[in-house]
Amino acid sequence: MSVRRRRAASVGIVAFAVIAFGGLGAGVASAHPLGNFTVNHLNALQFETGRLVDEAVVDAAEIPTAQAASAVDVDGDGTASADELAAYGRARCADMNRSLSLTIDGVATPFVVVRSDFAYVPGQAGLDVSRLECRFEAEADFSVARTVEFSDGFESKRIGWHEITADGDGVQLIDPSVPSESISNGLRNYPVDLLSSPLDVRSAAFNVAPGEAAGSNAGDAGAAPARINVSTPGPLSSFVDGVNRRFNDLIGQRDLTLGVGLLAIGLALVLGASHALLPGHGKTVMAAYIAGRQGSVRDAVLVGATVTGTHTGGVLLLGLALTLSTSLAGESVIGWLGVASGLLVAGLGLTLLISAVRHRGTGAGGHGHRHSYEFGHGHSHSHDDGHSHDDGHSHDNGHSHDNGHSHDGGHSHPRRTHAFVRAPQRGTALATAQVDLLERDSVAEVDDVVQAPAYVAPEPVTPRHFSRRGLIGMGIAGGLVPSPSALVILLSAIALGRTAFGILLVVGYGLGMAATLTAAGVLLVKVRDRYQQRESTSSGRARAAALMWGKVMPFTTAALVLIVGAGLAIRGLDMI
Amino acid sequence: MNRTLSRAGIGLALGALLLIAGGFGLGRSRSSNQEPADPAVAIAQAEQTFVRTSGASLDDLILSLQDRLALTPDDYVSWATLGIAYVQQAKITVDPGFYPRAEGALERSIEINEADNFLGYAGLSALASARHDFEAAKGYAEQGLEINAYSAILYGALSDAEIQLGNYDAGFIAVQRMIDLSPDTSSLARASYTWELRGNLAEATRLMERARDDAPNGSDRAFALFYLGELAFNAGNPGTALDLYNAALAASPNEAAPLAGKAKAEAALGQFQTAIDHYAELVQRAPDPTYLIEYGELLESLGRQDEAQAQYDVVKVTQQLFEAAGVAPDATTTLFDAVHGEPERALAEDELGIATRPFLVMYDAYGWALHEVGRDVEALEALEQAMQLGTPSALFHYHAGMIKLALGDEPGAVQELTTALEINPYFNPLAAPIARATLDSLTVPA
Repeated sequence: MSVRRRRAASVGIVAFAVIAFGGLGAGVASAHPLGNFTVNHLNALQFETGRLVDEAVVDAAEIPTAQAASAVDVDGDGTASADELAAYGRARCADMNRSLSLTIDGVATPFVVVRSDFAYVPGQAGLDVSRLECRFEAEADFSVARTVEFSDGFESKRIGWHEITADGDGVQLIDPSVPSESISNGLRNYPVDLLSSPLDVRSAAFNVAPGEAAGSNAGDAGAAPARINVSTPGPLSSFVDGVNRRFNDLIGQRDLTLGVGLLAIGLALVLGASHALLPGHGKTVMAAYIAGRQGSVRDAVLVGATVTGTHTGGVLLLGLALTLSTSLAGESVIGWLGVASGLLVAGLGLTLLISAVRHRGTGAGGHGHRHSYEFGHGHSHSHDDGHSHDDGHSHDNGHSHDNGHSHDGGHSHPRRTHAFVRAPQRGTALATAQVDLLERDSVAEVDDVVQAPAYVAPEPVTPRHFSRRGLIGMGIAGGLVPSPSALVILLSAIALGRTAFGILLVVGYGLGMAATLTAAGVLLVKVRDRYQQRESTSSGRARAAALMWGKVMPFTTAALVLIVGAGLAIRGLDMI
Repeated sequence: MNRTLSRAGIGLALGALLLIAGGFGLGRSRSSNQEPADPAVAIAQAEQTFVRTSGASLDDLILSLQDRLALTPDDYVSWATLGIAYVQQAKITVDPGFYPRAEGALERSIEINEADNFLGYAGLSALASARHDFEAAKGYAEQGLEINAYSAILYGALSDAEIQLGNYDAGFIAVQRMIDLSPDTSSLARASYTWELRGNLAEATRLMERARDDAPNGSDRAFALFYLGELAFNAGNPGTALDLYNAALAASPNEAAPLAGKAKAEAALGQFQTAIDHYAELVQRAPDPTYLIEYGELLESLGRQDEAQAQYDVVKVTQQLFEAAGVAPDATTTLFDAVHGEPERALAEDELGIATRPFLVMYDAYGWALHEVGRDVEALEALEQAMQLGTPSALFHYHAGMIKLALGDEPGAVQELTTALEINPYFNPLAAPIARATLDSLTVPA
């Protein structure tokens, strides 16, 4: 340790003492009866071309220092001599070395202790605190890219601050998870960040490569401690939070006038609409997918209505249950509903897959089969050629085809082609997961599976329909998991003694959701129609490619729906 | 076409049906002729309902509140909830690093909303109690109750303070209000405690078992199991207690209190080496004076005086720190002073302690310090204060017996010492053998 650093250390201690004594006069409440018993660790890693250096510090507060006193003062004369301090420091650094773990490209690599230092420093109440400093070095060749894992398991059951920093000298660290500078000034000044628990970083992994890092990571000196689940608010989630705040203010108005009530309902609509847009809503994708695939505006409305009905009912039921029961856990109910929703989607995916397999056998002959099937059911009206029915579905469902939808939707193409439309990719800001106690949604992330780049594929050979039942099933799956924010709206209103108002708001919320989902569906129908018009005039080669693609598509989509369903179910299980 | 509409209609009708059913059921909760609560309070309670029933672990709750507050920094309800969660986390992990965070979060919450913020006051009260400032804790709880007279959490905070301040009836009434408003783990556990203090161990156990069964998560379950273990140990059943402490550790592995219970029960069962190993682990993790004293006394009772002294030395260091910080001494440490050769110091501390915390155990420690300095008449009065509720404490009866003996009341001494050993023959590794030997010397000399 350099002289300058020592001086800095003593200045720090004086400052600390002033704060401590100043606190005494102001009020005794700043100290806690449990006293100072933390043992705090810092491992400052320095990557150099030929070695890895760990400048480790262990700062022990008054009580652990006292607990170790007899181990330092081995001759028991009441004072710790320089020899005793040095011997204890050597022993402790050797102990610590045994608890450090370092692997480079998966190979365990030992550190050696090259320096040790143990010293007492005045602490509170005339007692000592202690500071152990160890310098560990490990041979390492960082002239090629490597993966490095480090962990500190020294006295792991002791409570305290655990910090790791890392910097490179001739070696660059690629996106290191820890900062390059200590945020506690080398365990001398522990910041109290109200929004982070005391730092507890005991391990870190690095990807290192030769050469100086571009811009190095020195810029993050004093950066906030690495936190798990840090989320930067995207524009939409901050917008929703803003609306939420306004909403809570509104709903809490002492006097509920008509204007305020209408405004609250309007806000509930907005909240619902934006909730459906937020990432983590498999329902958006499902609705868009189904509506886009099937083709009719009315189908989009049907899915929207089903989602709204299911969601509103679900929120009301769960709200009722939570109000009446003390032992019901809201999150686990949501988890179970997530499982149910996932299984429903997976079931639909499975059905699709089976029907896709059946179709493959018949190929183009499927038309004939389909027609005879339809005739068997006494359908005597004619179909335009491109219009098809999904045999698998029809059989499974065991009901006759719905006549109502076949010829609607303004499809005037002479040769009907089926489109498969996926939801357009949403911006990265929207894809940022909103982490929020009351917005935890069991279907988050799974969307990403489906958020492939948008494309529209003609599907002339094996076009298929969703039955009405399938559509409603999808709608139910989408609405089954209640949105926690709708739940909070309801519970707030109940607590205010405004139950009926709360129910109205939840319905509004559901309608808002439905509006978004329906709008997404309708939009996709329009996009598809436009595309189809263009496609019908495209070249023969493009059409051949599309034909080829159309053969593979049914399996891909069925498998995707199955996977998304399984993903939803697993997420749900995870929450329980 | 018709079909589509009818299907859509079914969906909406289903919603409407549930809506009516919901309205019906929810109307019931309104019929309890409460005044409509304050709006801000109502929202807070709604969120609390979700938080309380979420069953999420405290760690998860803290993480999600931290994330939420990063987005909505003016959300005073979340600040207050986070403050309360930090206090709870400090108690569970015994990591004092959470207290300044709790204080900061609660101050922030109050800063944003001082007028309507009952949760903020609940948090301040819990924090003051954790720091043994019970007068302040009572004040904050009362401030909160002025805002919301129907908050279970505030009655809980009030009862904690009132009981420690020796206002037992007021404390029990607060617990009653709390359990009426919300019969959950925390109110059931407090209700159990009131019965334990009043000597009805069967009812205390029954309610704590209910608390255990209702516990929404591992740490609440561990809490209830630990206190069931304490009830069993204090009634002289270390075997049962050990099972319960182990169950508590299984429910929440890193907590200090059940590990301390485990070591204590093992010592009572004669498993000295495992007990010592567990105490050694415990005082590394949580060098609380209570644990250090228990450990030292076990070592001393086994004739390992030097090792015992090393623990006692650390106890003195903790006392120095408390003194420097102006923290009122606790009964555990003053009793330690009285027993381990510093009765004068203990007496001075006890007088201070009684002033700020006139609770049963404080009177017991005070009585023993008076006995050690030979003021046995006053000592007996203090013990009568300690035993005013009929609490079945072997330690209280042992102290009363020895004081009566010093006052020449041999039949009284025999009775008290007999009672002490009947309640729990393992109550203390140093004192229990003394109680037995004294009783023998009083009853056997034919």
